[in-house]
Amino acid sequence: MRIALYLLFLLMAIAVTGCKEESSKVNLRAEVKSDSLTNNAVVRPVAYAFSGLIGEGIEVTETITKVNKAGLLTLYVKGVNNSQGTKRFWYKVEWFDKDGLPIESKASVWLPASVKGKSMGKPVPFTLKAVAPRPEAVDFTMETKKWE
Amino acid sequence: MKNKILYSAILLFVAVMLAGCQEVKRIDTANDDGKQVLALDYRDFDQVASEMVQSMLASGALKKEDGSRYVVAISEIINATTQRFNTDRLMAKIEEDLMNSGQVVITSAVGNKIARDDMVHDIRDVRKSEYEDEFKEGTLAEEKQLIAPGLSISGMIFQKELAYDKDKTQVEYYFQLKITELASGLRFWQKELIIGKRGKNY
Repeated sequence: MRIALYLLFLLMAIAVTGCKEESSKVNLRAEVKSDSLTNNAVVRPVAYAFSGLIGEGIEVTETITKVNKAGLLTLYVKGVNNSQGTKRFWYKVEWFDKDGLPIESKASVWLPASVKGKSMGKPVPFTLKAVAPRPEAVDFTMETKKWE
Repeated sequence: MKNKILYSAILLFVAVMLAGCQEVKRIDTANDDGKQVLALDYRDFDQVASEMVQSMLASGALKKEDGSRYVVAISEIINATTQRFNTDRLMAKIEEDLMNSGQVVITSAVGNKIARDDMVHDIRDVRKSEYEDEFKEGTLAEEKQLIAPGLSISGMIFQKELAYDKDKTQVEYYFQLKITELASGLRFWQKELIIGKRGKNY
């Protein structure tokens, strides 16, 4: 009976975690984003039973795109740092034309980002900005990686 | 006899190890996870070029009201660091992206030594020279054909070194660029980026 309840709890935890939708265009890697029940190496083996141990980190709350005065797509990625300490990471934005083909640019390189930790118990918001290199850019993806 | 075999085996093992150490690995410049170095490396130039270009494009300073494109000259970019490198390592990336943005054209007729193409002037020297007759009529560049630049990019890279603690140095690299409208002399845009590094003394 206890095992069955445990399994039920496990399945519910997986379902809840799976329902949390994230922007498919901004990929926060495990070492950068807030840990979830499924991606924390420490708690993964017993993740669902110890959900209270989940870590904290960067969370993207909104992505906004606008065309600037020069006709170039400008991306704003808004988010918060849920952790207590400063979170540093690298990010790279790649741009795509209307056919989904990548636009080559010297500006699409790994750039550093740094967000202060919680202030007075509240997560610190941040905004990353990127400007498309050409007017043909209509879409984007953003990758992140751990600060080394 | 036993010792001889043992020594031979050790010697062989050391030789294999040393051979392994000499392996050369290609850098994955798109996703380089290699450790940082105190000196400026290509990743620093990539980062600075990217941030400078994005700032220029976002500012709208390069966008002409009438929809035409500015002609931009690359003026002096001074390397005042202790490292010997060609400032074209930075400017080539910036120029490439600026031209691809469709907002500007960069001139090779005037500018710093690296940005200038001497052939633009050499071919004009042929006019009215003893070699003029060697060229097919109408193919030599005529007078008053060069387009004067409307904007100029200039800048400086310098460094400051500080003793961080007993065996560590803090090196600060300052990258400063500015865009000036040549007709009015007014500065349309400027930006400073700092790359700071701390590490064991050189």
